[in-house]
Amino acid sequence: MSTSPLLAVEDLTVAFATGAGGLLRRARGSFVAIDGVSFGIDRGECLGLIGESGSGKTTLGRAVVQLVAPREGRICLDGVDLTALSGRELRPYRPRLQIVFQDPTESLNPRFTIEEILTEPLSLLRIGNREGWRDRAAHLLDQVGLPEDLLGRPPRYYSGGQRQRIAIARALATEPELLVLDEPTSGLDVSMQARILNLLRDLQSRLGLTYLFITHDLGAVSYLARRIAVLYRGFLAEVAPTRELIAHPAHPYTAALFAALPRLVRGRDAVIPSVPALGGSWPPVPGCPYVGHCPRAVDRCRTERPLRRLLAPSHEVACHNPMVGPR
Amino acid sequence: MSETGAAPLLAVQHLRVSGRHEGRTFPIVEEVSFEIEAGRMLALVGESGCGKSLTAAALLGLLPWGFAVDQGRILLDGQEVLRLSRTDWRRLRGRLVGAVFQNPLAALNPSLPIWKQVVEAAELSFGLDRRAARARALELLELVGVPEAGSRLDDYPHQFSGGMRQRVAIALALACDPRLLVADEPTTALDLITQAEILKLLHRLQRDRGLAILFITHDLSLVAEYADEVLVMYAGRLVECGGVRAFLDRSLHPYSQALLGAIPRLDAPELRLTDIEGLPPSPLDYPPACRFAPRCPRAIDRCRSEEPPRVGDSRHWAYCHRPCSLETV
Amino acid sequence: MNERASRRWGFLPLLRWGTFGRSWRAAPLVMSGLTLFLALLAFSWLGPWVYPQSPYTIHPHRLFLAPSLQHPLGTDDLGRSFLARMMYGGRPSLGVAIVGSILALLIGLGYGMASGLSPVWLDRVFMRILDAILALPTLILMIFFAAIVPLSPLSLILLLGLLSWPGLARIVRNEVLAYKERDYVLAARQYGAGTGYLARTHLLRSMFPIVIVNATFTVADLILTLAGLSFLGLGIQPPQPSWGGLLGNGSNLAITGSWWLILFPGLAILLAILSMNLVGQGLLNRLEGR
Repeated sequence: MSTSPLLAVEDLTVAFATGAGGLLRRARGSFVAIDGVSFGIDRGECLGLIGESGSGKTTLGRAVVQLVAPREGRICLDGVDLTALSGRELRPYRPRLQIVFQDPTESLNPRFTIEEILTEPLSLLRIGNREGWRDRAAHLLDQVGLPEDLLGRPPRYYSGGQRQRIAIARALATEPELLVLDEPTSGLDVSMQARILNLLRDLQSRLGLTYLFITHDLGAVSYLARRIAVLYRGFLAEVAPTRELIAHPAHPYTAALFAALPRLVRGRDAVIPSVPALGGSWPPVPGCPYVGHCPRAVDRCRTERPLRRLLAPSHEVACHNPMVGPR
Repeated sequence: MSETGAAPLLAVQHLRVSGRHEGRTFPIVEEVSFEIEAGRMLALVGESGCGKSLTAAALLGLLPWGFAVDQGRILLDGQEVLRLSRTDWRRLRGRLVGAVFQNPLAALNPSLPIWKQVVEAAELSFGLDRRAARARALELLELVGVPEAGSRLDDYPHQFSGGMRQRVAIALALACDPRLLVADEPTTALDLITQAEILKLLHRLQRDRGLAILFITHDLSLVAEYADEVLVMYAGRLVECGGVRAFLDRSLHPYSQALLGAIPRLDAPELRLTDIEGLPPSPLDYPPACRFAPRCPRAIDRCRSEEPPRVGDSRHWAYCHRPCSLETV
Repeated sequence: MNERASRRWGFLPLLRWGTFGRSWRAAPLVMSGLTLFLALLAFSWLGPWVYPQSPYTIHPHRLFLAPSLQHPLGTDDLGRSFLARMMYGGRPSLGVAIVGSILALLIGLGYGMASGLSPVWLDRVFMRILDAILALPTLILMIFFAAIVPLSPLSLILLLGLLSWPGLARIVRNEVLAYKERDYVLAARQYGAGTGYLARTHLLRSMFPIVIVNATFTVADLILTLAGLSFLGLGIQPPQPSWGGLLGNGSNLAITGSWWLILFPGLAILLAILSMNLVGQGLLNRLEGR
């Protein structure tokens, strides 16, 4: 890569304290949600981040927009390490990266009108003046394909799909460069999901946005992202261009995910390969976190944490015994 | 759909389910007719609010308060259940029908060990003693693929993962050896890999034990992968019915086509997804004539004024004035 | 309250003008309670305009007269018009309770917000202090203070307000904990929202309904507490009338058979508490039904 990426995440580790602790006692253990994750996103690119529940994908997204403080590692926007900045120093960077949450019922305050929801970022970040806000809000609604007359009412008057578009409009209010999309389509019906995906695709090409698209939906991610990162229990298993990942998954976990994905085009007589069961205990053994379920595990997997290595141009995998060799 | 001439296990004819709103009665599900034969999986597909779960609830006698079947017939193994007394229907249901829902925790009692729950239903009908009951529970848990089932008999639901809970819920549904399983979005809350495992389990039960399955889902790719026949429901009515292959190859109804076109394709990610404009109508004001007409890209004036006719043949049909692929059949 | 404001704060059309009939149908409990309470307020503050008798003038020749057309609620042991005394007695009984509740609400809001928004260890300290205050026997404490503080409506407001906020503070703090991790609060934080802004807008608006419900119950509580204190002679001091004081006096005179001296103040206290409980319960039903 010749130019530096817009977002660079380096060796990110996020941990949460566990155990109640007492009045003056510190909490005891900690739960590592994100474990040494690194990736970069180029300007105008959409990186898909897939993982199942409990993989830490939501935590990762929140860490990127500085809602969760990492224990270690750096999150650089245009080369500036955001994790090193104070709240005040962070202020000029906040408009540049925004997040769309999974459930618009949760992310839009039911006691706000749509206008208040859309102008809140402008007032908090002191963008423009009060007189221009309403026009800006109307313009934002227009950008996501909603009529202006929605402005006066609270969110509960609208359907799930409309609310999610309102949430996207709010994220666009500050004219961000990077949008973190945290499962923006997962609670929606198929037809609504398609509209949101189309909208996100259109917005990206129209506004030149950069996306970190977090989801468990392999179909959605392959529709939007040209490159996909696979997260397993806070551990980045594989990063590859979408087509490459679908055609030649190298990590056994990626292969299992794609095998389990129901498809319209596969014939019903096709053999669905057996998929190892998930579940098990945390924290994992010192080796690979997937070792307990991996059909290809070798002795080394149990003792040594696999490092990421390059298999093909921009195809990286963290596995001792990948499904495909280097090419 | 019965070619053998044998009576289907379940036949639903002109079913109508109505609900009350502000003192008035509204039909929510109308003119629903279908059949399921032993050993087949019939998928009932539609978006949220289309009435698919209400249809399932009507079949299970589990309609929520304020809803009632006020028209039509439900024939279970040849018996017309709506004519039976409450007790007789419950008994017939207990013997013939099992049910699995989206949230397995709702089906499981958090304060009872698994084995007791699994055989509770069975005990009602067979009167087993404790040892036989435990043996039966073990058999059922092994059947649904709970690993090391023997050592988990005394565990409680919270000690199982989401996928395992759903397996236990399926074991519960199978406890009375039902011949029909109604599965209402059984995998929606589960991860991809677990979903595949649960559906493979259902498929195995269907193949090995001749279980008939009514699979209710919003996900057409699951239907493509696992079901034998498919029913598409929109705004409380069936719009299309057919064998899964025929349906996927040339769906007739524009709504079915739109649903298929809305699913991202791994083999062709650049293909733009189909947008369906507007929102599904509320049961309180269904449009006249064809209910999909206001959102349909192929709609003509007649669609808004005349009830759509049934087109196609007895195995693959749709209600539409302008079906998509009939001309090419 | 205009439409926009009532929507913002939650209780929707209830507080909007011009929808009175609709409100009755939508929330009969709230509206009947509110009507009853307004009637009691009108009785106490507007009543003397309609029935301009002094509650203090003593008439030695007409003691213990039973209710009649001339003396609608009868007369007391000093011949004073009991209707007038009931009207003037309502003012401190209701006024002290309302203003005291507002005071308790403000303290409770401040303390609860501060506790809920503090770091975990400080929140724990706040809560332990609250536990200690809640463990004190409130009525005995009030009796104690009432015995050492010169009693006036103002001192009673302070006394009742300062002793009844802990319950509200706990509710507010729990609401803060319930809402402060919601996605919409996170979204606002992501725009750089400070704690003060979050408390003022998102949190206050979200918890407003439940806080109002509990403030309503607090009013009812304080009406009862004040009546109890006055009954014991530790509340509003004679000759100024109050419903609790009138009831106490009436029960001392029960031997004279003057039933009206007990019935009417008792009824007034009952209706006042009932009205506030109706409002509170009605609002609660609406909240939970949503």
